Amino acid sequence: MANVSTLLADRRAEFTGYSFAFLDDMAKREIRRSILKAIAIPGHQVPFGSREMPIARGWGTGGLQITLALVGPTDAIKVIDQGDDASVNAANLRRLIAKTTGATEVYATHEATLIQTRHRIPEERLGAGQILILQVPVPEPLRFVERSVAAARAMHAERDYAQMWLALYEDIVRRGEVSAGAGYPVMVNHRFIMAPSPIPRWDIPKLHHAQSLFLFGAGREKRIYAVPPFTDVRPLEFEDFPFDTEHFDGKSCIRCGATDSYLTESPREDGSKVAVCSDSSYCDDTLSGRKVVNRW
Amino acid sequence: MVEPLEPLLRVRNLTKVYTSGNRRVLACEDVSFDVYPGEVLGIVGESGSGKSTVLQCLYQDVAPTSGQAFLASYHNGEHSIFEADRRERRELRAHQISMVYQNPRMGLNLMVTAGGNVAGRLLAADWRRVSDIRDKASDYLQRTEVPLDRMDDFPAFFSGGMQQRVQIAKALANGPELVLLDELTTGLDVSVQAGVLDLVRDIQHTTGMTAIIVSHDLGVIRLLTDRVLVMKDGHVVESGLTDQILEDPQHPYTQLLVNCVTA
Amino acid sequence: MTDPILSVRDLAKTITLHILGGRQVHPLRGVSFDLQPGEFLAVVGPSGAGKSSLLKALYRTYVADAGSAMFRTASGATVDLLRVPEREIIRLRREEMRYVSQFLKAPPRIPAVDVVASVLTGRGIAVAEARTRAAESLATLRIGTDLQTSYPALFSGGEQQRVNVARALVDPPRLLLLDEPTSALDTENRARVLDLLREAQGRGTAMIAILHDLEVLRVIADRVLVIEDGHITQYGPVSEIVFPDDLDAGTGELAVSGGHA
Repeated sequence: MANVSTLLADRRAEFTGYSFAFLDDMAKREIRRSILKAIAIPGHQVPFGSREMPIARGWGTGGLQITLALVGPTDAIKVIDQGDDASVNAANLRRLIAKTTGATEVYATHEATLIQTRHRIPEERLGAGQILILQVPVPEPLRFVERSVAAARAMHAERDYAQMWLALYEDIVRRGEVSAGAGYPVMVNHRFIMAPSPIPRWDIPKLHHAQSLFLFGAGREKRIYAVPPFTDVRPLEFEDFPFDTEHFDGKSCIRCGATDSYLTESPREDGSKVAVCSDSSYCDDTLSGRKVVNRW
Repeated sequence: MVEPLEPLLRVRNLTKVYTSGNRRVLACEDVSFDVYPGEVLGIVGESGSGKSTVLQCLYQDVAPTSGQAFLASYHNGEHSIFEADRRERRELRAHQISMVYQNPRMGLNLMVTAGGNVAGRLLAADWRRVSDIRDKASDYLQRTEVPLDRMDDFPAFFSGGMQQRVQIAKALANGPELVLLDELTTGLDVSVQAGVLDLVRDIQHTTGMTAIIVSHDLGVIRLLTDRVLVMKDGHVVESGLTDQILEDPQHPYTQLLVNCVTA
Repeated sequence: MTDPILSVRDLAKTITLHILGGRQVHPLRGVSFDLQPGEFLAVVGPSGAGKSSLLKALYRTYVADAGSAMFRTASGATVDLLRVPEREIIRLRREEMRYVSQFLKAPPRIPAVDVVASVLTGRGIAVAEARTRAAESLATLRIGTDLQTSYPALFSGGEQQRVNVARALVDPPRLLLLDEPTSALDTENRARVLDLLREAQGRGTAMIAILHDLEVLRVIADRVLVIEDGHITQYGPVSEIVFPDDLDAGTGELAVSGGHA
């Protein structure tokens, strides 16, 4: 036990009055155990004893607990909120993690070892060894077709997804398309339907056969699940209604000029809207002339 | 010589006892029968005779107390469907056995469109082309005379007769081997009853479906069934060809039943 | 003579009326006879003598108490109609024997043409062809196209009876059981029905028919079986039978028009 991290923990504790990485050892151990189980059963929701955190439930407590259970003093930590490193929530989380662990705060995607994110997967392709931790508000993809939690779990256990397919079918016949924009349901490893957290459709294909590890944490709902590297992840689609990502025909980022990234609308003072990269790190890279070689 | 046709379903000693506290209520006891492919079997009796319980057990809405039911397509008829686990039970419902309830609200998902209700069974059977599913669903809805312009409406707002038609379409979609029909006209107006009966008869005629029809209405039994079981107080008191049961009933209870109607 | 298609021995039927305190009636008290392929056997007797019970027992609408009725099937096997499993009876009814009741028992709300066609579709014949043949058969019995598409329940007695006969003869079975097939018909239609029956006979259909009309009987029957009180009192060729008084002597018109085409 007497290793670098213990020593560092002692030092940090002196600074902050908290144990290393905020959580007590037993909490971290339990979360890690749940993470291992989640990795072993891709897409399966593993319950865990979600702790009280110094931020409110619904503000990323699930993702934060995973991050704090994994982070070491030598990690480079990046936190983004809808792609943005500089949002107040992202900055606060990042500061908390750094302060209680001594980990380095970074913005550049390729420099990060751990990335905690709300509702986006970075534009730059993640490599082996990088871990993306997604904050999840509603971990149960069947929530909207089956109100009973017990029944939904039975459906997962038996791979009984007819209700989910029926919901997609109803969407198509009544609206002409699947209405799910963010958080489009995916089939993981041909076995479990999974809520990918409210990432845009743009990011869905990135989950398929990725080199990196994806971890999903839902603090309020007390669930952890995972997509290990090189796992088959496919959006639910009908043969004659294939899944499609968002299109930004002709639009480009007003800041960096990129036409190949996920754009969000940003209002201006005169009431008009402009398109801007959702991924601030990618936008900075493009602006500074650094070519992002690794794309998804 | 007759081809040695195997029964599609063999029910043996089916018994269901409800217990509440130390009170035991016998719903049905030692019910045994065979159903052959293409045959329509009727179960007739007064309310409380246990006839609906037999269907509920076969559809596995209710767990029998004892007895077996062998479906030819389930483990080659070597194991009782009552031994099925949850997943197998779902498979049985998706592919082999379907049910039309007396109350359409039991068999329909009212939060889903009429077409979606029919599509549900196809999706459960892994259909993954919207156009195919829609074609099939509209085919069945058309066959059950549900106007196609109502296909994408919610059945909650349909009349009882129309709901029953949607339920029948749902039960028939995906071509189940065995259809269970429980008092399918009881809740309907007399004028609507006729239409629903004609529909089932036509489908039986054109598809050769195998079915078990439970009814207390001898008119329904006469019109739709080849053979009949007569139940009283949870027991089968008599069985035979439908015309034989109606014209030459042997058991005192059946004689009473037949005479009550024709009187 | 060839082997009989049907051989009935000691057929007995008792009905116990439980709702009348267990009272018993005995419509059949041991009936025996043979029927050859293509033979027309007329059954006569006073009402209540057991004539209908005989047909119903052979068709299995009635459960017989004793005796046997050995029927030679198309495949050459011999089965006892009184005891063969219900499944086989259902098959025989579809493919080899038919019962024509005195009154049409057609299901409601089905057009006449489909009532007749259902006999053919039940044997696996395509709907279109079945309809065509059914329409021809009805037309022969002078049920026109307008009536063919209406419901038989709305027809007159004679029209219903002709639909009934059309259903029996659209595809003549090996054994035909007829209960008063001509009772409600006028002379001309009666003659047509007799023609059709003879035609079926020529193709080998064996028939047992309850008849009241002596004139019809004389034209068509090969042999006659007289039943009284559940017993056979006479059995033989028409010429040897002493007919009971209550038989309808007929109008004589049939004999006049008997030679018509």
